[in-house]
Amino acid sequence: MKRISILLASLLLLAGCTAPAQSTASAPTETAAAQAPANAGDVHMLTNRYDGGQYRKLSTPYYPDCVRKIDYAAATAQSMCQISGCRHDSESCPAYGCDVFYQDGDVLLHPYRVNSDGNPDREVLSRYAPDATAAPLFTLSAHTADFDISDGCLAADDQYYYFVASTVLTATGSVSEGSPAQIPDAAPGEPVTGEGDFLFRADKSTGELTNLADLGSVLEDTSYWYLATAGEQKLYFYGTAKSDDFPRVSCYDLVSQEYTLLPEYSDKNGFFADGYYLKLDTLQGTLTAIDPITGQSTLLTDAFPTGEDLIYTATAFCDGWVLGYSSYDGEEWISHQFFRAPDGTLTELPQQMYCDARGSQPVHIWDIQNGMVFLQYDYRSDSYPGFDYDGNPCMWENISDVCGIISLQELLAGNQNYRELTFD
Amino acid sequence: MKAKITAYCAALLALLVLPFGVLAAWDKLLLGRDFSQAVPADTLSDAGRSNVTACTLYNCAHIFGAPAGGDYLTDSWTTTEADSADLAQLTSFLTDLRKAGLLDAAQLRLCLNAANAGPDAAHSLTAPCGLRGYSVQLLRDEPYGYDTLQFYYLENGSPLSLRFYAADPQAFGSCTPDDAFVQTLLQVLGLDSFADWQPAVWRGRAPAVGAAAYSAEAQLYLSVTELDGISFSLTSLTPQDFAALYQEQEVLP
Repeated sequence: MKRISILLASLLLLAGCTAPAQSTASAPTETAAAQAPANAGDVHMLTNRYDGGQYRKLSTPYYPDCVRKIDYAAATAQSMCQISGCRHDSESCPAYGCDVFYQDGDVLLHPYRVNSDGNPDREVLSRYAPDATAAPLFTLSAHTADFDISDGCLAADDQYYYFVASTVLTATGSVSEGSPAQIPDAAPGEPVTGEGDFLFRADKSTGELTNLADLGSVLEDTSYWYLATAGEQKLYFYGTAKSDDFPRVSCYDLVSQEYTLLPEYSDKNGFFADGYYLKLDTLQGTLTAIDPITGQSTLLTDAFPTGEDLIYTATAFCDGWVLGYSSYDGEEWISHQFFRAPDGTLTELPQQMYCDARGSQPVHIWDIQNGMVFLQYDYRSDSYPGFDYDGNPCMWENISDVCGIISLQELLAGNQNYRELTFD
Repeated sequence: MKAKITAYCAALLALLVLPFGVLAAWDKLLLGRDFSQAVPADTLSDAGRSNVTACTLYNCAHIFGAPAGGDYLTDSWTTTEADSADLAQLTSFLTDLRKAGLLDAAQLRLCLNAANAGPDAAHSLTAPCGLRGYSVQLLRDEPYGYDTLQFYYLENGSPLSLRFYAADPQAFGSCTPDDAFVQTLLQVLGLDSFADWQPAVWRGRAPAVGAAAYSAEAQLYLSVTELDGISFSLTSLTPQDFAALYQEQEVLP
């Protein structure tokens, strides 16, 4: 169950932003989350949001589909590929193979799948170009093995982008500091010296790619590592030891170039989401957010129901937190969802949606920004003709999300007059 | 007085008889006219109706509302113990495929080996409309996995589909399904009497490794693939559905 929480938290990372937390120690004023670094040169996370919307791949009735620019005020979702008839399944598509775009000032970035050799797990970072001439920051050699850039995890400072990629390194083909803007990976038959998740740095101007750290080196037998948050001159990661199922947090110091495990964040009741380490205590009914950059701790709630089988969730947005708890009544999961305002006020959100496969559940809030809420509030079922594995004609059923916009004020009032997104 | 009664009787008689006359004249008028009734576009052709395979699959799709696909009456199959009569039909059909050059000797041997796996690995199937089936799952040690064989046919012996997924696809090799393969298979299936078979672009959930053809007259779609072995299947499809199927694949929002 904890794994589900962690997975949820990882996915929600895309939806949220680095909302400031109310410290129980200093009780600072909670304001809209700052996207820019505190100081020029400080490293900071990039998100898929822009002022007034976000870039996201939606579950739509349209197949295939690609990342869309969602405009909250206009309630529109514009495809980032405007090439007529494009199936978004080849390198000729400017949004091929990615689920998200990142905003870095005026630049839009996205992982770009390079699979001319048939390998689906080779990605580079690319600047978005609507005319389909994508501009990769760096290239991969023809025989590079997998190079899989973690979704939702990109940081930047003035000069570099920082990201985690799963790849394979070899003695002669390892990526080292000062290497050219290409990964000279293993030639066929060459022995492998490293395999796993590595922290890479890509120069914004030259594309020079540097391997900064083997993220698995601080914890034996780890599974996946993700870039969790960034601030000042530090990058934070979370991974999971295969021997247990709770996350561990590590830190790479860009100044000292040291990579260390942070034992204070090794709690079986913790998980990482939206830049915060979240500690939950279902026996006490508390949920606490800790910002590893500042060390500030915020008690999000101490009023949740208690019980061993409860699941707590928390997602940070610019305008506040969305908290939730779920309990199993023997037949189905019952979930409740709340909005936590910056002043700590909790308001239950009664809006629910239903589909046969999942039953009733709270509406899925993707973003709350400047008083506007972007959310999924229903499901839609469409059937369409297609072919099965053997090439026989059949009917496929596509369950897609119905997404829209509602003001935060109306959401808090329990209203449901959503404006459905229009697609173009 | 007498004259009055006679007149009333005559009038009454006229009233009784007149409608018959009018109706008779109406009938004559109606019967004499040439009513041209439009035939629904999805109606099976006369040739299709006279072919038991085309007609049965059409009925399955349109009368029983079975979804298009390789399993026909998906929810209506009844599983029974392996029936030697079904095995005999399968063996006969596999031999026909070999005689027609659609299977080589090694491929036939692999298929027959699976088909004769015995009652523990096989079962028979029956369904309304006279559909029958024979299904086998044979566990292999090297490489570890199943040979899967499914054969559907009609009570009169006409094959509808065959699937053989080999545990070792490399050992099975390629059967090179192309347009020539399809033409030969149509002969084996007894469907080559329809003159309007046209090649169709093969589409599946995997990269193209097959061939397909469509006959509007038979309202039949034949798909052949060599994914992990060999599979072919007949599906009843109206011309409109056939066009929509390919259009749906091409037109994107």
